Amino acid sequence: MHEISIARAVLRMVEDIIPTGGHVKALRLRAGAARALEPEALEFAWQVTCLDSAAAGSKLNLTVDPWALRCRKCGRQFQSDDWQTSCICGGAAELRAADDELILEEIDLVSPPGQHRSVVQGRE
Amino acid sequence: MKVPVVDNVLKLNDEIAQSNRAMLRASHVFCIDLLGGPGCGKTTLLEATLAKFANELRVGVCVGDLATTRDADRLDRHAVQAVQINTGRSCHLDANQVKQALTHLPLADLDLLIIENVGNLICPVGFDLGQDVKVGMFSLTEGDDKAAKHPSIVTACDLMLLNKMDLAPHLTFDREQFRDEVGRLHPGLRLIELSSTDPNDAGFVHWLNWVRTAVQSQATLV
Repeated sequence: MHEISIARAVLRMVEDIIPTGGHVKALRLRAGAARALEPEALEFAWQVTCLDSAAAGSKLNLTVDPWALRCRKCGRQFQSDDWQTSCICGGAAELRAADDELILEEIDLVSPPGQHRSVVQGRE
Repeated sequence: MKVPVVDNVLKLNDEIAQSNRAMLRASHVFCIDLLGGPGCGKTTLLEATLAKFANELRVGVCVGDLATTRDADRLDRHAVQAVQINTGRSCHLDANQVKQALTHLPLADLDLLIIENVGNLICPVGFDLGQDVKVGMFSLTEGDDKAAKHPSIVTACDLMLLNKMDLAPHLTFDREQFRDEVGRLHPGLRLIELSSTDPNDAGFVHWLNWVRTAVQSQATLV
């Protein structure tokens, strides 16, 4: 359920950034593993949240970073999507750091209609 | 046209949380955000804690629930002031709700503010409220796999409580496994096993001492 709050925060941010008349085609977000976000759940929340906005129908692409782990037996540092993954030496791993970042990295915009028209007219 | 942004999505929440934190610090109020699943014993722990601190610390409470004022009613007897936040459909508190709640609390007359978050092991974890520490709570009746299944609450909290230890003889809860998993998720995290229904329980006394020490450290900070 926290996906709805996150989606609203993303929309607020997007609306602050995009120019008047601009329409959002896609967004790129990155989250740390500790943020506990499911890409599918966030995408669903996004589709509901962005209705009637300049981002309606846009695709939200979320990348979730893996957990940063350290083997308790041999000390090897590695990454995994599952924090319980054992080291190749068989040792149990512990977390090195819990990354809970949530970053909007990029907005893919369709230019405002006015700009489109001027380009077409220029060609003529 | 691709526009690079690279900015924190929860910036607005985090800014309000920072201003809450500044307001609490200015009034010398130590703030705990208490997180745990529904029924793990958060309100019962607070009732027992407030009763113990009645003549020692001035405690305000802010409780988040989707509906009802039952928790605030339960805690109002012992607290200087208990404020209920009804979140409606939301599964967690955010900094702005706490900011509103702070206006109903006599901060100058408080030593400690405890925010009892909405009973949920996932959603409240990622929202900074302006607290000094997050305290996570599990209980024996929830099962020994809950830390492993909800890693974020373990990584985020500054103290972990395992409640309902009095029920241990009646349950199969692998405490070794639970401790090991908490330790792997958050190396060095302090874990207190307690029974909040027994005022003389050793773990409960440890918890009270932990709170006392934390409040004193805040009081001497300023």
